[in-house]
Amino acid sequence: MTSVSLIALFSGCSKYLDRKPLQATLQDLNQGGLEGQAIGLYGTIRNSASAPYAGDGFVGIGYIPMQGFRSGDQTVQSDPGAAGYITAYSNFQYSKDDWANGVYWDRHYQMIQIANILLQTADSLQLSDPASLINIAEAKWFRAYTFFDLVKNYGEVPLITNRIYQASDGQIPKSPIPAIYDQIDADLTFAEANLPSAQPSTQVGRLVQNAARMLHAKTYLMRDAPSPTSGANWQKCLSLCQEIIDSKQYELFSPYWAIWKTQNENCSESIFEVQCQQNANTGAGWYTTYWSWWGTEQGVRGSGDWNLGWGWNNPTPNLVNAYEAGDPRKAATILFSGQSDDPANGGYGRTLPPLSNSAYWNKKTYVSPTEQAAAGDPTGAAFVNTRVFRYADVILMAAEAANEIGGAANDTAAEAWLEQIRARARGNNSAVLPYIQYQNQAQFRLAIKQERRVEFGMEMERFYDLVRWGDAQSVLGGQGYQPKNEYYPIPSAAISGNPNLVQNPNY
Amino acid sequence: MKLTFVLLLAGILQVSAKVNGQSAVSLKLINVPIAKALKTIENQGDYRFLYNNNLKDISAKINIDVNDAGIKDVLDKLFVGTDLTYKMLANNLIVVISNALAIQDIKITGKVTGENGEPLTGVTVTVKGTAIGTTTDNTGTFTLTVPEKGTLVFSSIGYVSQEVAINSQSVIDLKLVASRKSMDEVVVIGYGSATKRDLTGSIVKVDGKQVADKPNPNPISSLQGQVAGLSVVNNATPGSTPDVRIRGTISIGSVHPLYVVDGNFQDNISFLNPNDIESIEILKDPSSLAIFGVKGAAGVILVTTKSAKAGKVTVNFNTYYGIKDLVDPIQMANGDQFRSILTQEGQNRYNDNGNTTLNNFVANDMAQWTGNTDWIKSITQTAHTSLTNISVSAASDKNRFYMGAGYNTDEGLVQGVKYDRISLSLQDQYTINKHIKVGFVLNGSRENLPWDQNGPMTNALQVAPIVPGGTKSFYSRNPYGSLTDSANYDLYSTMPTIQNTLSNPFLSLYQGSRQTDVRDRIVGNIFVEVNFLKNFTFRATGYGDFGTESKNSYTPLQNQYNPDPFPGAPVVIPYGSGLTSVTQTNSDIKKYQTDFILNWKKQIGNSNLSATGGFTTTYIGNFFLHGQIAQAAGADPIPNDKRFWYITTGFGDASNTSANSISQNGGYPQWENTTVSGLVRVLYNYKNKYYLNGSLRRDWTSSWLASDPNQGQTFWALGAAWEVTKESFMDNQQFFNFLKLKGSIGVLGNANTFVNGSFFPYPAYPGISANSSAVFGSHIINAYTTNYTASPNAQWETVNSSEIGLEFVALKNRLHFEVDYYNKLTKNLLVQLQLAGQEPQLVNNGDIRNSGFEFAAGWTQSINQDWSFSVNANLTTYKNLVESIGQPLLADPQNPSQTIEGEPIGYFVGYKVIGVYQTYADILKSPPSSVNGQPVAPGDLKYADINGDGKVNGEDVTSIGNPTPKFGYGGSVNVTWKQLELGVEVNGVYGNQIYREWATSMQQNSLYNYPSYDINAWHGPGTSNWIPIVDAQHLNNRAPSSYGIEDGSYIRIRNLQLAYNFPTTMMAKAHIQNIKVFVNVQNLKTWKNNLGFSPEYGGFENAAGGASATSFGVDVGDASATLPRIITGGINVTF
Repeated sequence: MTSVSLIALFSGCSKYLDRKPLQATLQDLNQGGLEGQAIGLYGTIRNSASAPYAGDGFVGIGYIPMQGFRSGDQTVQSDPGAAGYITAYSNFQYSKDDWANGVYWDRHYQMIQIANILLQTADSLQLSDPASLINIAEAKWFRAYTFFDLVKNYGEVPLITNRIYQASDGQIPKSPIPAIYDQIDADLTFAEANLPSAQPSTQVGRLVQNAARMLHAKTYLMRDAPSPTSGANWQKCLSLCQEIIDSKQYELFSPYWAIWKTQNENCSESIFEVQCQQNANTGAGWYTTYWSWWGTEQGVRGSGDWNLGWGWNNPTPNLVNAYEAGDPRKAATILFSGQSDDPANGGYGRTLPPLSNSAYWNKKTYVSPTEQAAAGDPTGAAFVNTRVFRYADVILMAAEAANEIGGAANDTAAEAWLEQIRARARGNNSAVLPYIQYQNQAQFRLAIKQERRVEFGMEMERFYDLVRWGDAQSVLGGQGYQPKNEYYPIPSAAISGNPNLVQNPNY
Repeated sequence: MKLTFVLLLAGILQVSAKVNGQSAVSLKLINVPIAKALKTIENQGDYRFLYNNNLKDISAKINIDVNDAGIKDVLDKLFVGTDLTYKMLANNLIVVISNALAIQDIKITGKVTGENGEPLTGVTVTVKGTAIGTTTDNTGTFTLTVPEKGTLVFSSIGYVSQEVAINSQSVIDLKLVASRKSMDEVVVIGYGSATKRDLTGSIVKVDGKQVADKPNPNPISSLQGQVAGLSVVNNATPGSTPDVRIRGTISIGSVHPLYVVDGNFQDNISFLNPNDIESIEILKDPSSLAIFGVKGAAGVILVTTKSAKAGKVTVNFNTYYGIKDLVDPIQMANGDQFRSILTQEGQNRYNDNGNTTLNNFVANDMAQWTGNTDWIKSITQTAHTSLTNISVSAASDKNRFYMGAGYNTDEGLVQGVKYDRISLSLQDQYTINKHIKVGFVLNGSRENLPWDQNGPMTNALQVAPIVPGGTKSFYSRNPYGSLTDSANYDLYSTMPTIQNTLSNPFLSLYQGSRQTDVRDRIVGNIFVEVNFLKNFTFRATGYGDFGTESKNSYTPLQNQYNPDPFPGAPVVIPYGSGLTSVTQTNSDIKKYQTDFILNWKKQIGNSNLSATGGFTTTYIGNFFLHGQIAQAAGADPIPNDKRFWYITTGFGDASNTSANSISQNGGYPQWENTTVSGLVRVLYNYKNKYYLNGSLRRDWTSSWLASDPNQGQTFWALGAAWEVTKESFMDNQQFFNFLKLKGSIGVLGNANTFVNGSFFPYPAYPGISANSSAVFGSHIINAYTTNYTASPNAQWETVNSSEIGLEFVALKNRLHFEVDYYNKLTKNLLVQLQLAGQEPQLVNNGDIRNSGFEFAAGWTQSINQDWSFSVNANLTTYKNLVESIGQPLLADPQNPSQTIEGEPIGYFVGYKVIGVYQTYADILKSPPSSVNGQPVAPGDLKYADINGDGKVNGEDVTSIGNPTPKFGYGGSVNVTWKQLELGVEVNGVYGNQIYREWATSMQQNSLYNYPSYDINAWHGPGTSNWIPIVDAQHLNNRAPSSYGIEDGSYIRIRNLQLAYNFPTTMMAKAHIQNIKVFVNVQNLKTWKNNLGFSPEYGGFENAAGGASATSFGVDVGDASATLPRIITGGINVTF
């Protein structure tokens, strides 16, 4: 009798104690297998609003100084509290314990882990159907993209290609740079072979074959930096670019300033964007699921109507002065305090106040006042896609590779490609940006360098271009650049968490 | 003799129900002392004798032989020829006295009352040196026939004994002073009560009176500095909960104690009216806390609400009214100082890099900004506070009834901040028969919580004094009206361009978002108590706690004017988004608890045993709803009328679903939690000399999975004590009245689900996030990931706690002293581990140790009938060390609080300032510096090269302070002279540091007002070696450093109260038992060493309603630290 009531009591208790959350858990969802995980890759690279916050390393405030401020053309002026980044990044006074560096490292390895989990899942289930192969290709693309960021910023890093189950799985030593590029090559070769050539209109912007080619082409340029890239790499880069051009899937979008308008996200020039969207179900305000920090970080930091963001990516006078006279790209790239926002080049007919915190602002994240109001937040320039890869880069990479390889056919092609870029920038105004004739390799090399600088102004390309050209010392030396600054120091926290990890040289 | 006397008195009380008998006595004795004869009669069982052994004839030898005689006959025979006579008292008690005395006897009557004039029942009144005595009845009166010359001794358990010379008076009224440290005081413990003597732990009992008439709506605020081991850091925001920690900081998550109100587990007691509190017990040691299992580790504050006491109907009316003033405002620059410092900063910035922005402002715009506004003064007020309370209690043999109702208002120092609370308390206990008792308790409250006062105050510190503080009339459009609806409106000024990220504090005070926030709460229980089989008591209690909070907020339309537009004359400009919106938040909290407790008490030989066993369950459910609606651009605004502060207002853009929504985000979770527990406690003592307390509790919780081996966790404690004064070798000493050595050890639990600033209602079930959903153009494809990995064998934090102590009462019960050493090791700290490349994991990893000494001493003495006084003091030392932590909590560039292995929790890190660089030569002589990545210039702070590597950089940050004091102390002095009472309370801490974030490392989004000391900032070689150059762009000076460190030690006259009790005789005719009028001053004076509003900075309030355990002692200059001086006057009347 007693034992019966005891059993009743205990079963009653265990029922009383069985409380599942009053909201869905992963077990409650049908996630669509590998496809669900692959979709997650696109969200992971964007999200910053909650764990794992991986977007902080790709579009967040950790990304901007790491990839942008070391260029001499971008910095943070507008936020006195953040101005330590001027010196840490723009002036190369690196600190191992800098927050942005730590975030950048951590989030990149999180991205790798998430890609590795997908690959491990596919591997364990021996999935080889066509749809799964596409998902595997996507994971490999993201892994390659992430390792490319790491290798160009840190040089040798731990090459983690397996899912980490416990801390020790990730505590491996650094791999040599060629080994990292070998992995990137393997991943991207697979991606090129397995990604679809196009996506349905409901999934515009999802990875396609050409996105793999483009990323792969870029990685060939970066190898062996800062010494000139070998002939073989130039050739590989050129072939990949040529394949993209021949696919005729892309064209340069005109006018230049319109690329950054919201309605032109995923335009004909777009190859890869980190995408975000204000969603009806998550309400107004900044804290929504499909949010990206990109617009808020860089919006004009003023008050009232001009409280558009944190102003964390300001053009420097170097960049302002880099444009040829009359180049419309200057007015499309830079907002000037106290001046009109220049409706002819992407403005909305408003005049900036004479803001004291910075004279220049990034116009490539400047959204219309109505969009801002729709976001329901003063700093609502929130839903801006990050234009990561665009076709103009393919054209200029092709031009650069062709020029470096040389030969009459290549020289002619390079001249034509450069003109494509300048013609689009020129628009209907034939008085500016004159046609550049090929004279010799050195002359044309300089022309391409200049073109890249202004075409991709504020787009996080400049520092890596300078490094791979071997120009970093001559251009940035005055700001404090030394050879060791090609790579960033590995964050102290990463080293203390991995006994096999050694700091980069001279730090 | 003394002991015999006490036992005899006890005997009297026990037999008091017997009718006066006339039993016959038989006696046959030869040549024995009279005393022996009396003893023999006593042994026959019917009579008791009281006499003084010093009576000369009591040892005279007599012979007697009587059979079945009346007692009077026997005594008459016995006393023949002696000096002895006798008196028959009630209950067959016979007093034997000398004839000499008896002749001069007079009859005395009197009334004995407590401090507040309440009658004291059962007070023993004896004639000193004799056996003559009686006890007071239930109206406190006594009648006694006594010798004309002599001294009366009044004594009662829980009161200090008092002597009064008779001097032929026939009426002796007396007030007894409570002895706060009586060993026989009954204290409430978990699931029962016991005398302090029987316990092996440290329990401090505070009488409800101590919190009733202090101007603090939250009763715990009134205990600051009054209890050893209890640290209270007050928050000046009305309606807020103070940061309360008992014996240190045991976790990085939840550290507030458990509150147990009449047996019901609570997180705070803000719903309680202090006047309804009978007593508060503070439990600190393992032997007292283990019975609370997983909730006990942070200490327990037991609150017992009032119930009726035996006696007639009592009505109590209590009211006070007071005013609150800001006494130590932060000194910011005034208009002229600001102009001067700004000019200096403009020049400094120009010298740096040719930046002309500030110089241009100084030259061109500053003249337009003519204000000289003391913003702190402008937005603060003399605030009012009041409390009115009335209670009725009545008791009969069968029924005890108590009812109380109170109304409390409390304004904040920031204008418009007001809290009020209506509270009700209802209790009834009914004794059905000698076996069964039933009853209920109900406490209800309705609180109106104030709108944030920190926003305007933070603004007030930042806005330049040159901004005009008043309004200016402009002919402008009514933002709510039609296009033609224009009139003259009084508008506030906007900010100058150099402060473009700030807004006018008055705008947020009077025209910004506003809100109503109403919290209703009903907490109650019903119980049945059954006594059976002589030694058993069973009590079953069901508790319910229902709380709802409704917040409605509204964002209005507002205009401001710009005195200095670009370009042109002053203009009216709209402020904010220009769109009205309404948000509505409703939270609904339900808690249920059931307790089934069996008590058994028995004396077996010399062993006294009391055992408690039981079973208890809890359920907590939290439910939130949050919705908002916004006006569409171009559509009608939502009117500024509370009628429309609802999401179904009908205004707003119904088609704009993004602006109008029911929130689904994680800020408004729905969750439930349950526990099931079993508990056992044994209190044992041998001969009231050796004590053992043992308790054990096992808690099962829904927080962990059934598959988790730790779903049930066991907590236990063992305590022992030795009452040394009971030993025979102590018989001959006169010093100690009581001396006890005690110690206890145990394992306690901390059910903390607050980790790294996030609340985890279901730690075993990681939440999912749609943040991984992909966006492809305008299409969203959902994908979900878990937010972290749950550990399969997670468990609650455990605290290995121990205490050893000594307690004594000495010098005629006047001196009380207690010292305890505590040592607590928190293990299995719940942390969110974040390893690179991995999902965060919720794991147990970390240890924190807290240790220290507690000293408490008191002296209570009645000097004579008119004068009495008591002095109490306490001191607690704190030592905190994080022995290990899986995931360090690192400082950030603005805030230096850090928690890492080997350092105290939340300690401050930063650079150590060794001066100011005076010249470039000085810089060249010093190690090169690259703090915050910048080179230094003359006028910058010079930091020490701590690691000696010849460079000053990030590797030179070091420990610069500890927010935990070395010790905290407090004390009180109470003096009573006739009807007047004076009470003074003092408290303080010593040896902690404050980090001042304002005007040091606080992130500035534009230029902020300067502290007034900046007028003496470095402006050339030799001008200052401490205050750096004014130039916000010199980031070197903005890194957390010892420049922001201030001494947190302070001493404060916390409370001063003068009260007058009207003489009882005066009021008897009016049927008034007692009237007390009082004047109270709180925070009369604080001697502090920092620049902030107060020296007290608790942990920032976190989402779980507690205070942050890892970031405290940081002065951000907000209103929560504006502790006011409060002067109140009140009256307390008992009918």
